[in-house]
Amino acid sequence: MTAERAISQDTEAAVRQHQEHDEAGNSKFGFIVFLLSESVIFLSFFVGYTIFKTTTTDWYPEGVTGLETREPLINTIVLISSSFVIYVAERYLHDKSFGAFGSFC
Amino acid sequence: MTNISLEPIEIVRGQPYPGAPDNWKRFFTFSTDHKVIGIQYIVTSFIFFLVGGLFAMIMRGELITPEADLVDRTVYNALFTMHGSVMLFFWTFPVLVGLGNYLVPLMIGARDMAFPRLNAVSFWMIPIAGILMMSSFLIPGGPSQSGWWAYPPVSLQNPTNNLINGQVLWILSVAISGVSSIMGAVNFVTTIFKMRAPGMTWFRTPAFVWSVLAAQLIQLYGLPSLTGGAIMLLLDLTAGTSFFTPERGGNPIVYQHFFWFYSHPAVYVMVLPVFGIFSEVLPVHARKPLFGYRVIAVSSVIITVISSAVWVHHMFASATPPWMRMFFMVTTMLVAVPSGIKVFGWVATIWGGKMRFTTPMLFALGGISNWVFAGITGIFLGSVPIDLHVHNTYFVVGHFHYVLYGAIVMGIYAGIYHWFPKMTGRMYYEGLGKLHFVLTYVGTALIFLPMHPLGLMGMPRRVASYDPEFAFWNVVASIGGFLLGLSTLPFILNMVSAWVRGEKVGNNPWRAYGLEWLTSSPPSVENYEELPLVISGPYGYGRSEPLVSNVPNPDLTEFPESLTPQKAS
Repeated sequence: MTAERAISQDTEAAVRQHQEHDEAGNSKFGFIVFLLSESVIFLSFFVGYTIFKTTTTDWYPEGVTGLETREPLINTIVLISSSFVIYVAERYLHDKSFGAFGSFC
Repeated sequence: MTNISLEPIEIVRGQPYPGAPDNWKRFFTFSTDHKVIGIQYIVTSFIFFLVGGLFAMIMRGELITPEADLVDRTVYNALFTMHGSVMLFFWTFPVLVGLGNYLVPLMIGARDMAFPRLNAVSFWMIPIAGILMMSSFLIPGGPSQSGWWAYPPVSLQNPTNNLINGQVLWILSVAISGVSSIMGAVNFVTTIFKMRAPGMTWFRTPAFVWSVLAAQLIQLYGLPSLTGGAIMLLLDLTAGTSFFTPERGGNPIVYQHFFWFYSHPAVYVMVLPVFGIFSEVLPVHARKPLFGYRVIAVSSVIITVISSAVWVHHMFASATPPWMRMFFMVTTMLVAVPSGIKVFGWVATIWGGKMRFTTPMLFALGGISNWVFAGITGIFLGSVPIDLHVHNTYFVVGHFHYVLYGAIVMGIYAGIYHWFPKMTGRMYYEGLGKLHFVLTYVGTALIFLPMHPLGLMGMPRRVASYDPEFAFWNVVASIGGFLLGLSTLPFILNMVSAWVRGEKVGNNPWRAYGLEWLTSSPPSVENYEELPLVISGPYGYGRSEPLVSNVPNPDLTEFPESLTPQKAS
């Protein structure tokens, strides 16, 4: 590596450090904005479902008599617990304890 | 101890990372520099503009004669669907995001956007989604034929019975471009809120930045509604649900609500940055401060708020109850208030100014005049009785093309010409630019003005054949259409040749007053050596106070003295 390039990378690192000063704050702000926006998608789903459910007298497809709850309940439990497990694994990874990370991942 | 020359660092600072290409090749890399991404956006979307224009010219060729003889009716349906979708999702949105990408960090004195990598990802989704939509020409059954709004039950017909059909590709493509827009919006909002230079308070922020912020806030609350509606449409089409399927108890009107809750505010997403461009271009070329700067800035945000409650005016003829018609007629007309404030401010800005009729100024003035005309026909359409009369006629087509081409595309051209010296360091050719303006302005009037009498006479939109009594105005419109197609040629020639060998004009050829003119042309990668310390508001023409209290780029000397503090005093 030439001397010029080494110096340029040092300068670059200094500039980046100056920039990254506020990067955590930016990420937090941006993520909140993103979540607010995403919540509107689910709002529109709920609106669509509510209108459909309230205005349609017989909305079941042919051959279906009621809403299934058992399998969706199991699926929901698996989905929610998986995010918990991933969170724990991520904490272990953050603490660099890779054995515990592997057991959770 | 050896003295290492600092000279090479200057060269390396021209690149986002050591070893990155520093020539035209950087526009084909996965660059995270907001200026490279901005130009990538502009050029990519301009290519889609040409594709969409080609579709439009085939349609105008078809409409020269009353019979459907040039293309088949199903092909015609596919053409107007693709024309609308490409022009909106792959030209107007991306090109304005591109201009915003280039200008917003420069104008607020930031080194880059808040999330540079996210910025690159949201750009590269645009060509992918565009190619996905174009690929629907190659599959059996061809592209979607249900228009750019994809109303059910037409969009749910699926005549080929394939899982991969034109409508599914259309929905996927729109969803991808929606994800790109949401990521872009998060990026813009975070950048504008968190990364303004020290001293740049809200009322020292240029009107363009205000208008981009207002537009991107609309994306954030509106776009998820379209995405939600499109996902339900996709489920109806592929998974057999019946949200919008009338024969199985669904309600197609609900889709119209989802669609227009985003797609009417989307017009403001497109027009607000153009208002910002007008507000930036006029003061520079009239040598006067923007009249009523604070009111113009705030009126952008007022449009954001009002636009959340106007969407039903597209559905006056969709079995809408009378109280709803009244309410949305009033809210629609309310939009005229902030828009009128802006027009008043622009006219007062150029009133008594020292006007220079350069190409960007001509495009801005032309765009404003077209906007006034389009706004008046918009008031016509906002009133329930007239709307019911001209609903789904060419009057509507003429109105929104006057908005989209007459005002928005003209404004985009004004912006591109105005900041071309900043982006390239070279000046475009004034003669070609004026030729481009004349062709565009005359072409716009020729093609879109006849659509208003056609609509009042009763010609429905989206038809490949029509009654012979409409022939005269259709021929006039077609001539205008080909003229508009022709008008892109001097523009392309101008941009390419000026970028390659145009006259080098230094860092601030317009003697403009603004942070983006305080850096070199084209700006270096981090924009500023040190962040500018802003001490006064924008548009300081005729004032003697400097814009900043430090010199952001000490090695550049050729700035107007009014911008930076003078060393002697």
